[in-house]
Amino acid sequence: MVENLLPRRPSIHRLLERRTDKLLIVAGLGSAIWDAESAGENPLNYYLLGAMGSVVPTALGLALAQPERRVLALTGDAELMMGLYALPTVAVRRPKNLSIVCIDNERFGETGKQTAHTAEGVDLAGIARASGFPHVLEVQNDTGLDALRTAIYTAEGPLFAVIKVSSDMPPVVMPIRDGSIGKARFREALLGEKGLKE
Amino acid sequence: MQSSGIGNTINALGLATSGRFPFFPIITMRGEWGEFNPWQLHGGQSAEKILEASGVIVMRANYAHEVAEMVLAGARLAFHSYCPVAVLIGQRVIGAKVF
Repeated sequence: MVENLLPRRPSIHRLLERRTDKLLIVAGLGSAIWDAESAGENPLNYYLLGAMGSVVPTALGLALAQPERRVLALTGDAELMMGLYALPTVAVRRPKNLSIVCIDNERFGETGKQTAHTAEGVDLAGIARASGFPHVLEVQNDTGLDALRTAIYTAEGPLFAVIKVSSDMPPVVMPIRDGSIGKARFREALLGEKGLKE
Repeated sequence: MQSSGIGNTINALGLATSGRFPFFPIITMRGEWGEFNPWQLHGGQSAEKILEASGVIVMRANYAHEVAEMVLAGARLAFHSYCPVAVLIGQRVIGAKVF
């Protein structure tokens, strides 16, 4: 396993520095949401506090529907494992504007930090490569985070990245929990008032 | 999709119910009309109950002439009223598979 793990929350904050309105974020299930929300409240974030395994499929749909925007799926290793079928589907549909960033702490964080598959050597980056992702990054330091930030805005995707992070659990920063309110806010920010009337 | 896939969707249906997203699967049924494969009964016989228990409105077409209007009405319901709606196409319509 990786010797020098990145600190979880500061790394995600670094990744989301200087964010622009070009970027739409879909995040889940728990810790990835607290990380994104603590980086700055933004109506262009959509959070899945349930439906585990659905972050990547949701982001794929959004990326296909909004080809002029950049879409980031921000998820954890266990959430991703629950919907692993989505990686080959993304690779086949090949949305140029989609990046999937897996915050890999090798744990089921929300249920008590039990070790997860990646702790036993499951190689998510390898699965993405074998699925046919044109860009796969394994981020291990700040230089890698900065390169990933640039790639999220510019790469001809789909892109898949794993950030190996510490298994500490930073404080919960709770966003709006209601999925329909979050959806309405997101649609209004993205589409204007017509997004609420369609 | 086919009815055997319904069981795999239960948790993900929470996205549609919690977010009030339109969700509109058209599901061809197995495990009912003249089914020859006993393994199809598990998914087929439980599909409608699973969907309803998960908050999905279920519509069903048992005859070919019902399919078009059922799909149109189901799609309008899902997309205009922001809810999950499933249209089941009975195995009687597609015919029992034999091989």
